[in-house]
Amino acid sequence: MKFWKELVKGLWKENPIFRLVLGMCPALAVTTSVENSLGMGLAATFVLICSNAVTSLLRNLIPAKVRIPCFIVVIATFVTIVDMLMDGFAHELHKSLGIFIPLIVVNCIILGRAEAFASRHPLWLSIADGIGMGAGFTLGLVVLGATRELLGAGSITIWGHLKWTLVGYEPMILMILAPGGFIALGCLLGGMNHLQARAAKRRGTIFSPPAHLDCRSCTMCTFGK
Amino acid sequence: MKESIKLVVVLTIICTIAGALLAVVKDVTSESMQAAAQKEKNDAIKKVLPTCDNDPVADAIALDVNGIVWTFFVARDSNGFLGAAFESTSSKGYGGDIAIMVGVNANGTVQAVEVLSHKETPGLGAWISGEAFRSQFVGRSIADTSWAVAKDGGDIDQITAATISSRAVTEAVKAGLDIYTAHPKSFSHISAKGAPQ
Amino acid sequence: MSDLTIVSSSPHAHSGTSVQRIMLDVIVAMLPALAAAIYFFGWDAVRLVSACVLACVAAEAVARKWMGRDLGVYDLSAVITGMLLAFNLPPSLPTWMAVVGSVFAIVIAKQLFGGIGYNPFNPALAGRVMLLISFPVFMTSWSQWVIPAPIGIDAVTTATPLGLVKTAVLSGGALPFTFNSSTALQLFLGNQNGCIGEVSAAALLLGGLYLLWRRCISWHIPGAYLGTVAIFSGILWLLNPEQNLSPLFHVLAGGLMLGALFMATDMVTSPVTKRGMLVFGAGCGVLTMLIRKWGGYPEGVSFAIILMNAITPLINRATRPRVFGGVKSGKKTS
Repeated sequence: MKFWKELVKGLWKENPIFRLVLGMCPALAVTTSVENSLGMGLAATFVLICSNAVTSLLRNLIPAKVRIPCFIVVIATFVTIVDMLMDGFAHELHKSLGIFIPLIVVNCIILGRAEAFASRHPLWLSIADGIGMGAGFTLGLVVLGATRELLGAGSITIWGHLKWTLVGYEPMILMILAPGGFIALGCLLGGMNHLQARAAKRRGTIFSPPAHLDCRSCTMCTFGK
Repeated sequence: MKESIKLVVVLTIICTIAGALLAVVKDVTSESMQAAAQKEKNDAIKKVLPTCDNDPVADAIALDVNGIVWTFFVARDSNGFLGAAFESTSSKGYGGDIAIMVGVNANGTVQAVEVLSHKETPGLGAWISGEAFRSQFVGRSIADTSWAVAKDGGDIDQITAATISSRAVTEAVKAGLDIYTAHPKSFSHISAKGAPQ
Repeated sequence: MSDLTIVSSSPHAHSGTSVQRIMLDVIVAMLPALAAAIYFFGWDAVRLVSACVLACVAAEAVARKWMGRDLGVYDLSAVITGMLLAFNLPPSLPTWMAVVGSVFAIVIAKQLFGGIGYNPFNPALAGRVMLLISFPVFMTSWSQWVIPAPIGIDAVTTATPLGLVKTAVLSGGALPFTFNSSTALQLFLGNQNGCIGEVSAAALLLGGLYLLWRRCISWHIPGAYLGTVAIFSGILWLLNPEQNLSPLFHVLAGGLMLGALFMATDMVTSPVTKRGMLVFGAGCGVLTMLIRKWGGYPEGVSFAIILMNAITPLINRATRPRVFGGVKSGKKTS
């Protein structure tokens, strides 16, 4: 079923963070904790669904020449709405996400999905795409955030209630600083390539990563070869 | 020509609708936005001045010291003046401004310190909002304490690897406490709750 | 197949140098410092050096096997990385942290970039900086090491000489000790607190001279590095002798000698031209002094070298020698 396909592709096959490698600014900057990752992911998902829906509805009205300004206005409007709603009703979360909420405007995923998908697909498919991509983005952020918080702080706390602690572990502060974001993201990307290469080998096909993650021109390792 | 008119019209319509939508949402949320910010402040005041039974915000006193206005939220109960809370900011944080709320007893000792906002590094400087760091200010006054972090030879134990953040908080507490201690007269006329001022 | 039948292009005359031989020379050059480390810190030095060397060699073998490359541990570079990393650790560091640092140095800083010859940063320093940022408490707590009288303000202290200076200057106080010829001698011999391999300037100099004699390193980087630090600290000292110690102190204290002789001179991560080496050394010197004087950390050698490593490709580009017979750049006609 088409709707279902668009819905689940964002989770793994076209995961925005690990496959499309879009939205790296929030992926590196806010993933210092699961809580922040979750908040950022949900906010971006909301904006993504709304902007996809509106873009899809307006896709026959918007002239091709001004489509980018139109998309940006739509996106910026929803981002500002999220910003104000969060400030009013989830003040603590708004404080901890700070500058990153307004920056959702320039998150490549949202403009990218509006341009690549919503502007040429009907409403219900665009909404499915928005939900799927948003969920995939959130999932990616949470995985990254969990890795970094667990290694960097030694425990995971979500809104002060759920708390897992690694007993007897000395937190590696590096992991919640900026370099830790790059290292964790790189390791997760590599791991994901490795898993897919192995799965492809088992199926007897050849794994070809996305163009910008292609290892074929590189001689550093034999993953996927 | 016809095409460019269409471009202008479409873009204008979209922008107008977007603007209208934002105005509506702003109208809906502005009240709770202000309320949330106010509630946050009140909660902090309540935390650092636990025992009063007046409204410290209503009874606030403003002191103008060298052109800088310090607002002291005064706590009273039926026995009289209990102390005050003040907000203090240090620009010497590692990641930007650090705003704190400090509660002081009538005799000038710190009752509690709360961190209102900061941009310090999570896992390092962010521990300034932790109980372990804040609680060491409790019971200190200007006279009996060397107001510097231990690394600089003072009495306050800095957070390991976050000396800059610890130093900033220490300075912020001291700055307000200095003002409070230096102006006892501004508070001496405060009477018991209910009595005319 | 006999070696005689192998056909290869010129040059056919071989100087006899190989990666393995150079690495062996570096290991020999580090032996005096290793001896000094064991003399001053005893069991802790043995523990850290063996842990780091074993972890580095094992990490190198596992990483290369996993990446489908040949094992390649015979070039001994992993041994050097392990020894250098251990030299940069405080004596009381838990063994498992040394192992984590070693694995990071080899796998992340070296093999993921392509292995020996491809790493942009000195792996041992990358490991040290990672540990310093990750575990600041452990990396800056010095053992209860008895400091002999000239420097010691107490019988037992828990800070390095540079750390004492930093604390004193930050709190606005006077310098914590006076620096005279007997103090200098103590520093030179290694009677100071610090990372296990950096304390004895004498042992490090001995090794450095051996490397120079064996032509494993040239004088340019260490010369420019030490010279810049001496000039920089000399100017500060002349301007305000109350707040700054003499250039001799800055040259002998902390990890400067180890950094200048063994880590800034790493062939892979430093420029290839003589002019480039001078620029590199001077840059390291300026950054080290900037961090020591105004930075948050008492010691800046590892950060300085890592930062200069990052711009090594640019230095190489800027100091590329003119091709023989070519025209000066800027006068290009076509």
